[in-house]
Amino acid sequence: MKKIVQETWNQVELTGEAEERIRRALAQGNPISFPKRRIRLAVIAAVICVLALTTAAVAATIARISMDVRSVQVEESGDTYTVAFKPTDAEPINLGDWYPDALPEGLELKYVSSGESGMRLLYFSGEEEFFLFGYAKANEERTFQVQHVDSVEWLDVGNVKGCLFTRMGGEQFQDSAILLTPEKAVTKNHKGVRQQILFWTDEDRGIGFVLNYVGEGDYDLTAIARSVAETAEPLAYTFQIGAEAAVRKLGDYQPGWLPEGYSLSGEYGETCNPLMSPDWYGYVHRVYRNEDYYELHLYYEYIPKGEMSQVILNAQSCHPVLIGQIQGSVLEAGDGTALGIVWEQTDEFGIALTFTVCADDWSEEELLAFAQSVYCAQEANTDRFER
Amino acid sequence: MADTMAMFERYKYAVYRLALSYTANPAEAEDICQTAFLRLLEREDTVSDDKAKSWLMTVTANLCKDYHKSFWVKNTQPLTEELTFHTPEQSEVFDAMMALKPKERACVYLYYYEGYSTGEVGMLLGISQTAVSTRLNRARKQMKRRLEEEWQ
Repeated sequence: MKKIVQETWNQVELTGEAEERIRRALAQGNPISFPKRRIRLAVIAAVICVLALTTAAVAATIARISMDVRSVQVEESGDTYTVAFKPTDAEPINLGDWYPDALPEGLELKYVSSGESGMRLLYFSGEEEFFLFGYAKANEERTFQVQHVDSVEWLDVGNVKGCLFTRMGGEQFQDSAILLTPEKAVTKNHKGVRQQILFWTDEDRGIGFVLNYVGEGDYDLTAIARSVAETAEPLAYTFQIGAEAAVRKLGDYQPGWLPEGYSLSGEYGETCNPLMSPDWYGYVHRVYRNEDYYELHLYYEYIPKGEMSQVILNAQSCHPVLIGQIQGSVLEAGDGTALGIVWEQTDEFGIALTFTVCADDWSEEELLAFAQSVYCAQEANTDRFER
Repeated sequence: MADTMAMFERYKYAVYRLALSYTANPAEAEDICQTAFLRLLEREDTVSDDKAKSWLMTVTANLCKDYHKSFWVKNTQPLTEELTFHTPEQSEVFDAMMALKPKERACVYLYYYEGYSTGEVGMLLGISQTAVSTRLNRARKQMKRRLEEEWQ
C-alpha cells in the first residue's frame, strides 16, 4: 500500500503558475488571490514522470544510485546546494551495516540510529569536534540541503567522485533525515567552526554516503570515506542497546506467535528515565511489522509505585478479559474498536510488570491470541533491583 | 531562523500535498499552501530551520481544519477538479483516498507518503497516537474495500 500511495502522491505537484504566484506573495508579504480554476497538473506530472523514467532506464545500465548536486541559491553569506541520492532501478536494496574504519583516534561512538527509515546515522564525538556518518539506500529519493557553502570540490573516493562542501557557521547540517539526529549531535563548540561535508555513493550497492565533520582538525575526509566498509556483525543501534539492558533487568518476554508476514522491525528501551523518577525505569518496546506497514506492538515495563505507564492509549472504555489465568483489560475506542490489551503480571521475584499489546486493524480475538502467546523466554537478573 | 523562500522551495510539495489531502480541492490547497508560507514569513525570526517542516505541517493542518469549519465549505460542493494520473490504478488509488474523511486522508498522507510514525502524525495533527492508528485502520479498510470492488 505504501508504494502505490507514494507513487500516486508523487504525481501531485503545485503548478508552475501557482508556485510563481506564491513566490510573488512571499516577496511582497501579502497573499495573492488564486482563481478557482481547473488544474492541469497531471499533464505536467505525466511529462515529468516520463522524463524521469527514461533517465532512470538509461542510468540503470551504469549504477543503482545517482547523486545529483545542484546549486539552488546564490547568497552573499554563501551558496545553497542540494544533494539528491536517487534510485536508478526498482530492485530492492539492502541497507546493510557500514562503518568508517579510518576515523581519527579519541572519538567515541555516541549514537547509532536504527536505520528503519532507510537511512542510518552514526555520531562520533570527541573533544571540540564531531563526525556524523550517514548512509542511505537509494530506494527512495533523499535530498540534503547544505547552506552557506564556501567551497565545493569534486574528489576521488575510490572509483567514484565525491563532492566535498566546506562551510563556516553554527547551523546544524540541514536535511530531513538528519533532523532526526538526537540533540546530542549538536555540540556547544561547533558554532563558528569549519564544517566539511562529503557525499559519495557505492554505485553497485545502491547506497549513498555522507560524512559530516565539524571541528578544527585537518583530516582527509576522502581517506576516511575510502575506509568505509561493511561490518562483519550487524551494528546495534542505541535504543536497541537500551532495550538489551532493560531485558536483562525485566526479563525477556517474547510472543510465541506472530501472524504470517510479520517480523521484528524495531526494539526500543531504556534503563532509566530521570525525568520520571530518580529510580531506574525500564521498558522494552518491540515493534513487528509486515510488508504493508501494519504494525504490532509489544510493550512491557516496570512501573515504580506512583508512576504512570508511558503507554498512552486513548481508550474511551474497557472491559475485562482473561489472558490465561491473569485478569486484563481490553481498551476500546469510542466506536467499540479494540485498541489494545493491557495486563499486569508478577514475576518470580514479586515484581509486577505491566504488559500492553496493540496493533493496527486487529480484532479483540486476534489481540487476545497474541497476548496469550507472550511468554517469558528468559528470567530477569536477580540483582536488578536495589532493595 | 528560517529563510521562508528557501523553505518554500524545499517543502512546497509537502505542504501542498497535505493541504490537498485535507481539502480534496487543488485550488483551496494552493490557497492554504500560500497562507502557511506567509505565516512562516511572519515568524521566520522565531522558527528555526530544523523545526520549519514540522511547524509548517502543523500550521497547514490547522488551516485545513479551519477550512473545513468554514461556512463556505459546509454549504457548497467542492469543485470538481480534473486530476489524471500515469496509470488507471493510481487514479483509482487517488480517488479512493479522496473518498475518505478529511482527517483520515491526512493521516494516510503523512504516514504513508511523508513517512512519519503514528506518534509523529499525532503530534502534527494534534491528536493521540491511538487516534491516528484508528483512522489509519478505517482508511485502509475503506480503501481496500473500494479498490477490491474496482479491481475485481
